[in-house]
Amino acid sequence: MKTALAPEVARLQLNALGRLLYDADPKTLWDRDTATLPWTFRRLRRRCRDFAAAHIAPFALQADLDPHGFDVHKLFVLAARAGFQTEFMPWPWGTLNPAGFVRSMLMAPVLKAEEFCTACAGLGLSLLAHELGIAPLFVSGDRRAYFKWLGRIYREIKAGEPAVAAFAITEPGAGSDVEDTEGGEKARLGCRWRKVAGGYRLNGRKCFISGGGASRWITFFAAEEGKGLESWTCFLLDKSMAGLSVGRREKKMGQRASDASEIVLEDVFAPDERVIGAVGAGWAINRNVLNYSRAVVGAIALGTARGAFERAVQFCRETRLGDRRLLDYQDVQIALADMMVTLSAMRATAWHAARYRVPFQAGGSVAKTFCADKAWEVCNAAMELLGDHGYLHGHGVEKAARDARLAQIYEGTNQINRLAVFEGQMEAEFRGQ
Amino acid sequence: MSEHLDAFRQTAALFAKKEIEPLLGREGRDGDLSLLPGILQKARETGLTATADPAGAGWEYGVWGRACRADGPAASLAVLQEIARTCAGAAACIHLAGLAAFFSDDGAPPAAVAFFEPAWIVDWPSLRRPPADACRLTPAADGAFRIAGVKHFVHAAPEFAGLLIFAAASDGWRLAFAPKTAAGVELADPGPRLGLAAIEMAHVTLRDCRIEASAVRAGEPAAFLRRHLLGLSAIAVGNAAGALRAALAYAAERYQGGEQLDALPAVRRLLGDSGSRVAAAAGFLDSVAQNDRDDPPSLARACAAKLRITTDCAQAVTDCLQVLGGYGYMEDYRLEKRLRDAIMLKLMAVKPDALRELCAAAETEGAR
Repeated sequence: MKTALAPEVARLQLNALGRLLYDADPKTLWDRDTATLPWTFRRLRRRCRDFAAAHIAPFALQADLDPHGFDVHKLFVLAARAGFQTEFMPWPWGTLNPAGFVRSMLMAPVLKAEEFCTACAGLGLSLLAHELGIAPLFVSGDRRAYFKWLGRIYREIKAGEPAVAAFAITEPGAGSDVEDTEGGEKARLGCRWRKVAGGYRLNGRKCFISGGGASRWITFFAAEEGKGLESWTCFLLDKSMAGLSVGRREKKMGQRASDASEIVLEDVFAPDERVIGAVGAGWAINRNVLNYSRAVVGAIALGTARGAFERAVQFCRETRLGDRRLLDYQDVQIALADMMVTLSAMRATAWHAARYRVPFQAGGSVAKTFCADKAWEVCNAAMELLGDHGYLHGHGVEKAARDARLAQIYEGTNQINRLAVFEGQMEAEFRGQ
Repeated sequence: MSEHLDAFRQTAALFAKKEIEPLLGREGRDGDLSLLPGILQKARETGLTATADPAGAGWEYGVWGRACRADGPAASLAVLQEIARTCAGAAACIHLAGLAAFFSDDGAPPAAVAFFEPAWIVDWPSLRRPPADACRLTPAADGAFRIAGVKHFVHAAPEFAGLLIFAAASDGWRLAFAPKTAAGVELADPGPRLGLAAIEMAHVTLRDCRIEASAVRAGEPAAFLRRHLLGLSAIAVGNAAGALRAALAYAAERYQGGEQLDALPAVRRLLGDSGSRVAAAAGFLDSVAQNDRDDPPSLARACAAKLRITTDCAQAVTDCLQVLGGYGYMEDYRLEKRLRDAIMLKLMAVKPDALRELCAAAETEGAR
């Protein structure tokens, strides 16, 4: 029973114009936020949510407990059939609505990351890592990369093949080094190329490669023998190449459904046509890929935190403490409201980064750092609300917390990203100081 | 006293290094748990773990042994911290076994304390008098008792043989012992969990279970809760100190951008924050331990200690994990295990919101 002071009742005391100016509709924040998007993205957000509810959420706990037993390729094919693996770019390289592409190059992956990772960050990452894998082809601006390779990968996916791509920059002795200018200048690189007739010979080992085991294609970065990162070059490799193998699959704290694997190259021959961009353009391609991908990582964190929040709400609705539901306690309401406040701020930050016409360093790093740190806070708050139930796997909240913790580490630790914010804006903001 | 404490610490540190480190190894999410029963057996033989057996090595000076009734909890907490520097799970086993022994009659078998109930708000009134819907202990015609109700999140050291059940009698709380295999006792596994894989956990349903009159005595929830909260706090401090030690060692041998990690300002911030949190938590715990008595203000201080210490220690551990970057997130370096354990220590027993409320009530209402 609503009292006369309830907003939706009080609003009726106003005339028609007054009522029009007073929005007291009981709409969810999800609906309200979706309504602010252009039509093409509104539709995409709904499709992503429906797909995640049908094909990701039901398998989230199982894939986390038994990542080796879960066949991620099936999910990839399902996602591809629904168009989710090809909408990074418009026709003829993908299925993204050109109107959406013109408005924002990042909004589609940002929306998708939030919705998929609300259901499961591990399975979400399995699907999203593909876009990270093909991003070097896109940002290289290389016509051959577009028409020969992006077109081919698109056709393979359309044909129902699990043609996943992975992005390989991290090396055992150079994680943050390859994500930061200062570190890059002194990086100790292990992956090397040398020119041979008709192509390049590649050797070395990459680690922590998301989707490294599941992928068919790998955008692989290596430096010329005896030289530093200025010689870094991007190669498009595929698993059929002799000498290329997948090493150890890492045992991670969270996002376990997505493999993080070693990629080992032993005298692999890559023909000239496999160079993406130009020889020596690898560093620029890598840095710009990170400009694009970091906002998406922010959205992964956002989705993971939202998943924890939604599960906490469900628990508080279903659980009684004393003579009331948990949801009816004011301190619980305050805790949940705090989470909603944080989630709103995270979404605003991630969407703001996605709305820049061309992604840039500070924009991506701000979204990544803020959302990753806040996701960890939200997940911890959700676990605290559940108390002892918070650490049980079956509720999915501790899983969300383990998943969220990775967002503070990958795509450059949040410490590296803070430095990236400063480096990216130093000239503009602090000129002459 | 401080000399004794140092001796306890040294014994515990030696035991952790010699016996527990091999348990962790490098394989398995939580180490090789098949080694755990042997380790706990050695802990009993060494006298680290208290038992209810007066002939047992730890009966008097083990963790929560009889000596702490007169001497206070400082020695027990010091031992738990040292063990937890190596493994929080093993420390939790020693804590839970000792705590049950503390409340057991001499000669009783190893037990688990069954205290918490679903839909029960742990507040000051319910600690003084059982709430109406608490697990009930009623007299039977033959002079024995019957117990019925549900206890959840019963934590125990492995191989416990019985349950020490806090139950409501007509005149207040009672503590009743029931073998876990007794008719009417049902144990259910709550399923996979975040951390502290070494301990056992069960939800317990008691269906009119018969209890001998000799197995029932007065129960003081506050006395149990105070020691439990302090023990968990000590484990949290030790776990965080171990994480800090691991992060410092990693930062001293790894390089980024041509510089040693521990020379980088971003890493130093993390180490400084983490170190200060661990030091503050250890100091707080020491101060609470020195003033621990059987009175409500002591329980209020234990609540404050558990709230502050487990929260700050979890933050310290996550900062330490960050120092290791991607390696910290992988199982190999055991930092992720420490973080899982730290979070569980924060959530288990009484959750932070409930602790806040207990602290607030103690402050505002002088809940005595």
